[in-house]
Amino acid sequence: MKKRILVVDDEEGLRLLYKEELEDEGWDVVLASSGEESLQRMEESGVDLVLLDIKMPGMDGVEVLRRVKEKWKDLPVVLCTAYPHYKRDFGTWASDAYVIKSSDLTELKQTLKDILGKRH
Amino acid sequence: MGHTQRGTKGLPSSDCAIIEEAQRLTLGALPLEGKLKKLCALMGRFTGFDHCLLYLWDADKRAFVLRASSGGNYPLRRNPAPLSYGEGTGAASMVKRRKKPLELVRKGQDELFRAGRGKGFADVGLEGFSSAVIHPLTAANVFYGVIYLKSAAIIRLSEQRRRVLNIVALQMTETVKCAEFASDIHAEHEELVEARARLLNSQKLLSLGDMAATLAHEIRNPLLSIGGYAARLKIHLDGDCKAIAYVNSMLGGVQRVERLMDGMVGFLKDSVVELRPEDMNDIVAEAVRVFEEEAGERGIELVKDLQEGRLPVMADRDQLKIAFDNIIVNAIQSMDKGGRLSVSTSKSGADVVVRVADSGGGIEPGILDRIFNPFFTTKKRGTGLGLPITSAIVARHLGSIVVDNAAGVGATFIMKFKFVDAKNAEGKG
Repeated sequence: MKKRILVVDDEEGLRLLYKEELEDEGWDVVLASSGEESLQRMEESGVDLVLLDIKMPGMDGVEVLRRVKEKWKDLPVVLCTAYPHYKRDFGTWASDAYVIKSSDLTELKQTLKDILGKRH
Repeated sequence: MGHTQRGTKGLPSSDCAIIEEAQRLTLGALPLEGKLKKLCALMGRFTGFDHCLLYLWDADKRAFVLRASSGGNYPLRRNPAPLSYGEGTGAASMVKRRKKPLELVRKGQDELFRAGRGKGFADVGLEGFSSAVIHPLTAANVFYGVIYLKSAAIIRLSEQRRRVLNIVALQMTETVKCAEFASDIHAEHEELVEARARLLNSQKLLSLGDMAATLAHEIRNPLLSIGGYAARLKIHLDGDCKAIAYVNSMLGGVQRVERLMDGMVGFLKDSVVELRPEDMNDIVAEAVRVFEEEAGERGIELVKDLQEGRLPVMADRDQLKIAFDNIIVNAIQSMDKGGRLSVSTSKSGADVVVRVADSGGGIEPGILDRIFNPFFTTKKRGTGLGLPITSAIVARHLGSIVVDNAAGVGATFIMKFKFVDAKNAEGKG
């Protein structure tokens, strides 16, 4: 069965880019444009991994991460952001990986493969 | 005249005048060198010795250093007075040990130098002289140095002269003590000024860090969009299509800006240093090791000269390595036709000093004051962030960095850090 990734980002252009790129890798992709929406998606349909932007209006990624880990302890979350200093933020330590946004998506894809590969 | 006029304390008024003049000089506004020279002249004039020298004890150098002198133009050619006496040598060391004045007078044809030798010390400064008085400068059990009087003629001091000499010596000690005190205050003031400059600089870097954070977010997202879609566009283009070159150019541009962003957030990411007890030699050796191969390939002789033993400092190892990397990379790039790169460590007083010297022709003097400015670069593909990051990291270690530039020859970056004794460092990591 195809693994399903939930992409959470407030920028539409980036959501679509991730969708296309990750689908090309053979994954199923679900999209959410805000923290609130992402929690709703997780309730509705089972996802195998969440790719989460940190800085979003409304509920930010750190808060989403906290709630996800409360409810679905084993659901892997990959944080994706332009801010490297979040690495020092205790709130982000619960994430399974941390990727800095870059137009070269190789590192991101590899990280996703590593995590999803472990969970067969 | 049957008797001399008497002044205070039963001293002849001429002697009182000497003491008053010494007093006046001591309290006067002359700079220290001038004061000491005049006091020497006064002392010579008063005692009749034709050469009066002042040697001060330098506790760091463990030596007596000549600070002032007067007279010394004798008809006979003699050895010039030594500029310094090492610990344990010469008459001055004898006086330092004995803590009381030493009076030497030639006996018969015997030279004073040999007389000194007979007393258990050799002093080349005595060669050819007939008499000498070496008087200690002490106050509250602290030894400051000696007044060194010598003469080609035989002079014996009267008890009264000795008393006056002692008083003038006390005044001279006060002068030296005050000057030392003032210089301590001056040094402390300088340190404060330096600390303030460092603080201002780190504040500047901090606001730059804030700016980098905002820019990182505002620029990275659209960049990801441009770069990501350009990469997808490329997949959909024919292999030999002309537009491939356009897309590649777009991708190259995006990557360049992304690299720049990485460098900028370097300020931000590492704005907190985690200081632990480290050995500077170890950090430098590790930083240098990375470049050994590259230096060899480029025909650069890499010389590593580390101070023996450990050089304990409080440092953030990873950050310091970045700081050294940036300088070494610049040095290597400056020597495209080969050369010599020397990296050394040493201890100087309370400082641990790291030097990186290259033979890459040095820095153009006109741009020297801009090399630590963010985004200033002379390289075609440089970000202009290497040296600012290095300087920021060094500042976060409360260290300093300066460039000793020899235009046309090479540049030496000198970084200083506080030496932290292992005992004091324990428990702070």
